[in-house]
Amino acid sequence: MKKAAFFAVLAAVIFMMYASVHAEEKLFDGFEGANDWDSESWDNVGGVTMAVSAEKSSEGKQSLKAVAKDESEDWKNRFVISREASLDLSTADMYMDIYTDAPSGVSVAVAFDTSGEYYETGNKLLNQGWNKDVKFDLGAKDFKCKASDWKNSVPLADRSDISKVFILVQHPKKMKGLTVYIDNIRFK
Amino acid sequence: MKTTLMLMIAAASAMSIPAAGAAEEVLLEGFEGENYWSGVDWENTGQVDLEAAGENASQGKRSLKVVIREEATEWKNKVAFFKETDGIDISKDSAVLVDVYNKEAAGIEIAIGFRTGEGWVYYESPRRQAGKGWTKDISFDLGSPDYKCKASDWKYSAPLAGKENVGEFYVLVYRPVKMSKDIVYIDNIRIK
Repeated sequence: MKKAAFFAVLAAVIFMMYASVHAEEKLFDGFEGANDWDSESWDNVGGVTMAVSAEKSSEGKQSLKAVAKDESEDWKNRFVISREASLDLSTADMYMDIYTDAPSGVSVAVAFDTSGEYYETGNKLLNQGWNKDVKFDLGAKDFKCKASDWKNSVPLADRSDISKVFILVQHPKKMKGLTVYIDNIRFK
Repeated sequence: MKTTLMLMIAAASAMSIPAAGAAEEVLLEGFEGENYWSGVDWENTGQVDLEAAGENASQGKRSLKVVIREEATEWKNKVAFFKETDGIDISKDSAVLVDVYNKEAAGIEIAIGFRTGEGWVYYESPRRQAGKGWTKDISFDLGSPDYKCKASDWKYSAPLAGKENVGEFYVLVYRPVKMSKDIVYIDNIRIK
């Protein structure tokens, strides 16, 4: 009897661990259809061209190919793309797969419009080649926004009311023609 | 029988769970592309020439060749060079690893530095020894409380703050006084 109870508890614990690891995953964009993303033209970002591509994909058959325009320089050493959304991310984190040919120095961040305010994560450094399951912890307390005076010191507010998702790609100032492939953007 | 079955299921489930928190290395610099590094112009550092070189690489095919052009003096016993890092977030990382090849002589020490946070505050790690030839995987703990900065009166007694926003990354080569010219190769700078 004791043995049966022990194994029942063991099985329950293992199931809970399994469930937490394999939490429900929602695909936000796999780029299998038309491109729904726009480039931002803020003062401090460079230009980018985007196209759905079959060259590199980690999910399905297509990904988003984003190429930094050569005129990006000095303090415009990043590009930003965005997609309108209507999401409740109260309990979810964001994941994506991103490929770059650049040997080093490229980083990626994400940002959100929530209830009219803009919140941005820190920049995650990328390796050359595929960077799969790049995770952004949406429960972290180091987002930056206007109210934090752009210091990475606040949590993402109003996670249940996300109206826009941004991806920001930073690169060294003198790097020209940076190409990245983005795919398999998920929330889980 | 049932017990055996349950054990098999438990084992299978456990095996399908990925190792949590496994530290992955990300290459901060392998010197394979364009050279984005510059020497500092501090009063207490010697002059240095930097070039991406196709020799003494521990990762890829190239490394950073650091040619130290001045004899080390009492107060000018180091060279330092840096690259901009565009505000990368290393707050979830635990260490920086560096490979160093010292061509000429033993006795040098390596440190790393950062400019972080909103005010680009400078922090420098304690030094690590590098012998003659290759010293690989020189490790600098990002969580240690013994960095130095202006607020610590340049004593090694402060934690590295502002790790979520790193604007510049530095490598420093300290040398014994009177050491003349030296050539050092740096490669495979990783964050994990």
